[in-house]
Amino acid sequence: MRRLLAAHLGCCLSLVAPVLVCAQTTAVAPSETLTASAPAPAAPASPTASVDPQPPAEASPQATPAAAPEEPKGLFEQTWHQFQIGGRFSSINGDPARFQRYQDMRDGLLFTDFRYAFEAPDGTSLFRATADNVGFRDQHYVANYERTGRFVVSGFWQGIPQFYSVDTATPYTTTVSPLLLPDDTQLAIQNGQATLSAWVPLAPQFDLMERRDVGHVSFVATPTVHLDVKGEFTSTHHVGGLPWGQSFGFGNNTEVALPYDSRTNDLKLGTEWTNGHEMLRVAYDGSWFNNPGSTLVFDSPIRLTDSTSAPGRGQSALWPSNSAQTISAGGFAKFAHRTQLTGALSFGFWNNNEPLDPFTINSALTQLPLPRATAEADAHVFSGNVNLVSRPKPDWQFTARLREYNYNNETPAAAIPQYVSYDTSISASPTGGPLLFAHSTTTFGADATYTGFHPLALTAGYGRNDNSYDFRTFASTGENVLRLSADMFGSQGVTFRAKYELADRTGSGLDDSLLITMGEQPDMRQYDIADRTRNKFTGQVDFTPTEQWMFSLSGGLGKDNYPNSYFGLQDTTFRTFSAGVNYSDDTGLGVGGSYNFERYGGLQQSRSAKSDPAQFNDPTRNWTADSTETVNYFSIYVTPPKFGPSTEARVSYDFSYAEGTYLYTVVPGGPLPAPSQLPKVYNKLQQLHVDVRHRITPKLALAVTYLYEPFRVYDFAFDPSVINGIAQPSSLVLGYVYRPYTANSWTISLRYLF
Amino acid sequence: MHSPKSVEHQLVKPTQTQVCATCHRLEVTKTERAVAHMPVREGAMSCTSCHNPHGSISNVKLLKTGSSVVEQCTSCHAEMRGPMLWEHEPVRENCTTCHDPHGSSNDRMLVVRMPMLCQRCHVASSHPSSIYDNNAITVNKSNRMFGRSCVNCHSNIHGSNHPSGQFFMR
Repeated sequence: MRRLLAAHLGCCLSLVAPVLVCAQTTAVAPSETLTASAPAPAAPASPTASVDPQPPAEASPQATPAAAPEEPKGLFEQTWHQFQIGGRFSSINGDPARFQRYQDMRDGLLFTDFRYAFEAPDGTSLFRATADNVGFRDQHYVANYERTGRFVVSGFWQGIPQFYSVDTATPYTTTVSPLLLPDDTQLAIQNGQATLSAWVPLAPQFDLMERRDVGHVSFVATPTVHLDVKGEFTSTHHVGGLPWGQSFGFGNNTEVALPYDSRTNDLKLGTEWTNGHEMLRVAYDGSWFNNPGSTLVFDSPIRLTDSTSAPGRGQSALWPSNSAQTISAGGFAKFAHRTQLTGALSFGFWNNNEPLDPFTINSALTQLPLPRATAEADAHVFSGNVNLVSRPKPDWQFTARLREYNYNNETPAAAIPQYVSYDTSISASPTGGPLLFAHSTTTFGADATYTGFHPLALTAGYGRNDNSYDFRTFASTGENVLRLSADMFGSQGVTFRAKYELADRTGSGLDDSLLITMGEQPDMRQYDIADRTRNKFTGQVDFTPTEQWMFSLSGGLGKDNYPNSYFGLQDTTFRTFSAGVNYSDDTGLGVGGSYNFERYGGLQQSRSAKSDPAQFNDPTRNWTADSTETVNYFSIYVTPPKFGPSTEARVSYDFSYAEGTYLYTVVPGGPLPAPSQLPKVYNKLQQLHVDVRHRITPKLALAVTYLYEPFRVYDFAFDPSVINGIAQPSSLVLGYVYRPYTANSWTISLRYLF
Repeated sequence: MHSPKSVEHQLVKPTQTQVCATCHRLEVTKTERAVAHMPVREGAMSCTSCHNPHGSISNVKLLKTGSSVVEQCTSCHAEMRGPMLWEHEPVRENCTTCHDPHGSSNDRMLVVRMPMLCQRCHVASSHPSSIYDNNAITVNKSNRMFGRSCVNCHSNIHGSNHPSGQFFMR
């Protein structure tokens, strides 16, 4: 009885409670969803791959008998008593880093897909554990223990690598701040006896990578049937090197491998009470970001000693340690006529009080006095919302919501009339110090849905978004949104959805002096707050004429116009289309495919001019840039029937091609020279997965997977011909480039059920 | 519920991503982007890493953490949370002004590549409003056209805690 009630509570709570204070449902920690998203090593990543046409899956893990492992009905079905052990062998032609951007595909012994569950015979407890990619950089471990009706304890450990490059090289001899260069070469370049080319032979190759290691533990306790108490702790260690730019002035920039080692600790505590008709939740969230290396000192590649025109070394602030504390409360109440009111409040306190670095470390310059010793950066954040859902009549449903969000900047004003630019020279601050940006948002929305034309549901909705800003060019913006949608539901074999949105945003309280102060064109409008009209349509149809066939079509188009933005973004457009088909039958055959097309465009206008009024105000110096991106994505999969009694296979193929073009135009007959158009950029990724499994004994199966993955790319900003031939050595760069690769990867393993 | 296709959570399809793709095909396709994406297709993240599909009463877009897009993103990218001495307005207000959280063909998941992205809001005289065409690469060898473009110099683009960080170069 307690378990049934708990399950019901869990369903209700999961609808309304973002804080995971769940009565007795198995803790839905992120780790579990991550685990569940990879059911088989060769599972296609296609977003439109259909339902796996296998016989009905085995019963959920909670019902699995604890004593003996079940023989799966299919070799690709996961059980809770299994592991895979074998070897991985890969051949990579080209860039191995890009192939392993977020994964570790090195050769070696592979122990993965470990699943174990134990449930007490009387059903009073359940333990589960998983392990994947053991010993590799992307290893992942999960464990849960549930005492039915009492508590759930769960945890995970996950490594997420990010492999940037094997092409990187740097003459900097240290890997932590200060980043040092050999003094003799610095001096030689300073004295004109050498050029930046001198650094090239002094730059050994290194692998540029970073990773996140995330550890998480949580518990949910249910002291009474009405009360849940929850706690979570997550610690994320982020370490490695990042490609990072620094500069000592125009025309000279230095790319370094930024050393990074930070830790973020998050603590969540909450309690939730419910009687099924009302719910009240209170919670505390604390987050601490600790970055002991929040200052970067780096040698100049062009000189050794400080001077009044250039330094021998630079100093930059990195991300400061900070904290965020949030107290929140939420709840719902149910009323007659299937009406529910839900609300939430939260109060956040954000803080960064790191010591301020000096204005410069250039000893040849006069040091400017700091406005204060520490940042004293504070923000108070308030959020509140109320949602009402009601079905007073069988054919009518109404929803309304009101949301308020305030970001209040509590940082004390700091007078900074001057600053040191590039550690090189003292410059006047156009604003006299930091502008204390703050903003607030009030959002109202209401929808009415009529289902009298069953199976069709028609919805009309209105929304109003009001925003106010401190120190933005508009003091406030207001937007009206009209939404119309039609859904077909409950009809045999057909589901349909079409949605149209019309929105109109207008700014008020224009203060173009802020633009003028910063040297911007006064007719420029920042597109995130500029006047805007939006038209957007999306639609989707799914048709299942028989149990075997499923067809789907979807598409969308839309345009954002910025009618009063003489400079800046003028408009953006999108077009999307997708089609898919899936077939499955009783023989075990499953096949499907999908095609996706996306096209995005953006038109922006600017004026290429110096600050003198003759140029600054000359409209014949205007230019536009029209950016277009298209993406074609194609995916197919085949799951053939069993080959004999003991062999099964899966094959999938994914193809993605993305292309970007940029068209510059200038005023005909104007003073600007005709632009030399940028080359097209593109990337093409193909993935062929083949996964074959053969049962040797009832408990043992041979699993062979093959991945063929060619990647082709051209991006002028990262192409080796540009970075190695043009950029370097005029600038000191790491050599981080975009390179193609072709990877062939095999995994041969034994899958054992125990 | 009686014949779930997934190992856990009784989903109607084998993976969570496939369930979401039934209706949100565009967003899921973006996670497959070759150049810039979250580690969804590698299995390190999923839709529910950021979204609560059953609802969220405290945040927009069914985001599961915090009360705004910024709070959701900085729950993992806490280094951007600040607050900073020198703030960059779009960073403080909404990460999606510059980034597409589901994936992009542009480095760092930007909605459009640099310098075009920056030039949508910055039209000041001299270099912010210059045309960076192919000559900027091949003839002028401009450091604003290769690698991280504008961020080669304006590296603290998410905000700076340095007294000399007004233009995010320190």
